[in-house]
Amino acid sequence: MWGDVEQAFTNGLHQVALAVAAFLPGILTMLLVLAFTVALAFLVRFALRRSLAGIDFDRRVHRWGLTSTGEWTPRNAPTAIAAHAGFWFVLLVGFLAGLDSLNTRVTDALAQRTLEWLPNLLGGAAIFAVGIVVARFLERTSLISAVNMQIQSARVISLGVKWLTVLFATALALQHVHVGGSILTVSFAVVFGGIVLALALAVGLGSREAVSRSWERQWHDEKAAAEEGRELHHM
Amino acid sequence: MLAEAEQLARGAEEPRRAELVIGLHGGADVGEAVRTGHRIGRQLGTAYPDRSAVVLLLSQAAPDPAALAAPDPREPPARVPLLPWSRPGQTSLEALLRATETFDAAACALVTADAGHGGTELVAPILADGFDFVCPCYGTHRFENVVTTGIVYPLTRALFGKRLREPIGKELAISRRLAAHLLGEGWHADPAHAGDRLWLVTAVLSREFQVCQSYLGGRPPRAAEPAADLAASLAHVLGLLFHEMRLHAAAWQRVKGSQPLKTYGEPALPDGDPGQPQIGPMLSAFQLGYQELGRLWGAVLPPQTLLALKRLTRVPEESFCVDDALWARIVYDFAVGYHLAVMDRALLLRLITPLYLGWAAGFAREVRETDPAGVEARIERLCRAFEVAKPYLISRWRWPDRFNP
Repeated sequence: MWGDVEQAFTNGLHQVALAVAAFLPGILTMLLVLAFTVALAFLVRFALRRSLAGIDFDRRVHRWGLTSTGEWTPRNAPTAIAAHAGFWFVLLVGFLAGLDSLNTRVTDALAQRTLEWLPNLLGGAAIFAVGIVVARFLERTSLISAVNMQIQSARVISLGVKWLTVLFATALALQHVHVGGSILTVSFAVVFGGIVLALALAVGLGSREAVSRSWERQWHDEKAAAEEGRELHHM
Repeated sequence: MLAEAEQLARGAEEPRRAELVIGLHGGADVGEAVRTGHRIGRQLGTAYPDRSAVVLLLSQAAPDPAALAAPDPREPPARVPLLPWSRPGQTSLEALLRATETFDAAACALVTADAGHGGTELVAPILADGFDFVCPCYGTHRFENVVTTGIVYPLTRALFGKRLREPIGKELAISRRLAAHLLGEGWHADPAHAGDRLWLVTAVLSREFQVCQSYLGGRPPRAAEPAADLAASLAHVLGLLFHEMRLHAAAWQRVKGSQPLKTYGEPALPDGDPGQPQIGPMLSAFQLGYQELGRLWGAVLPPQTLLALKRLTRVPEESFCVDDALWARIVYDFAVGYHLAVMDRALLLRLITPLYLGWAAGFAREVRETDPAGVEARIERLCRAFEVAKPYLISRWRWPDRFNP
């Protein structure tokens, strides 16, 4: 009896030892991959920092209107952010490759699903980033144009343009990564359409008289100023 | 007469010789242009009876040859022919320069279709005294041409050291030597902007060409510009000017002070009262600009200038005035900002409009009750301030990161 139990335990231990022995190369490979990935990530971060500094990336990003210089510290300068993003991206890909080397069903499936989803995620991030750049550019353009037209609510107009563009870019990015599905599209249509309708109603009905009075006054002022020679001839 | 005009129109493509070429441009009314062309032709024939000349009607599309006939058939045929000269895709200046080459002319002039003068005032300095470039001056009211007064004249004068009173305009005269340079080296140096007036002026001023100016009487009256159009026009002029600054940086950094140019004719004051422009709206535009665009100005202007602008927003209308030195530094800072492309250049050029309106408000208030001599003295003070501040421009241009007050 005792011999049978001992035999069973021995067999069990043997199987566990075999399983661990079969699993160990995978773990070793994973550790090797991770070590290599960490080294590669540091290398990528260093290379990104050097090359982006070489092309004066911070100034270019500022010129594109993505940030303003006053918001920068060494830690959140565009070059540092891009270098960190590159570092963590390489680490993530390396970690997934390491998981794949374990050769188990769960890790294989996890790695495969994540790697399949990664291009969509990158595409969504790119759409969002472009949306932010466009939003900042449109914000500046509309602000400057409105100020040059001497519209008192220039700031409100520019913020409206910015956030509508950000909203649009966010909806596009989420749609691209398949988050939210049709609910997102419907919600966006409702919110966007609602804002446009509200603005149309506000200008068309609520402010109709005020707008017409303002235009009339401006037209009369310009006409009277031109007639009386009260305008400078700039050009 | 009609047959003669048709013959001339057909023969216009053929190369021929003419010592003087006058190009007429602008104006929607072809009839007015033809009348001006015939008048200029008669005056040229009288002033230079021993020189061959031709008047060209510059246009993008070929005009009706019948329209070129003299308005009064009883008049004797003109010795100086009026020819249609349509060159699609070419600016008036380019068409004139190429016509000068075609006709192998000694001098050419660009004249507007509504010009009141005969064109001889423009070409005479080239033929008589050997000048290369004659720039017209007009008798203007103190509240006219304010962009030229406040920016273009002081800036070009400080940069190139020549006191050219009206660098931008629609009329000019050019010698054959200068035309050959412009079509050759000048054209290849900046083909994107070749043919524009500021391209020509900066190309001339940055080289050793003989330049003079000639008074042509009063400027034709024009309508006031809406605020949005002002921003676009200002951006266009400043964009060209700043672009040419980048191109000729090596030339203007060597220039110190300025020299007066030989000036023909006497300034004639235009008729009528210049009126009293409203300062309030311009001041409001400046204050709104500071309130909303102050953060964006910070990318172009140094903190010291921003502080001075902040103080200005609290100055009442009765005593409002932008200091000349401050204004010169603002214009120079925008030139440096454009050079370094601290932001999108099209946006940067539109940022200056409220600042300009603030300066214009102060200028209009100051010269409101001043006589013409006093206005000229005021403009001279402004130009001196631009010249004094030029080392600041050179320092910022050369060492933008090290020199940032």
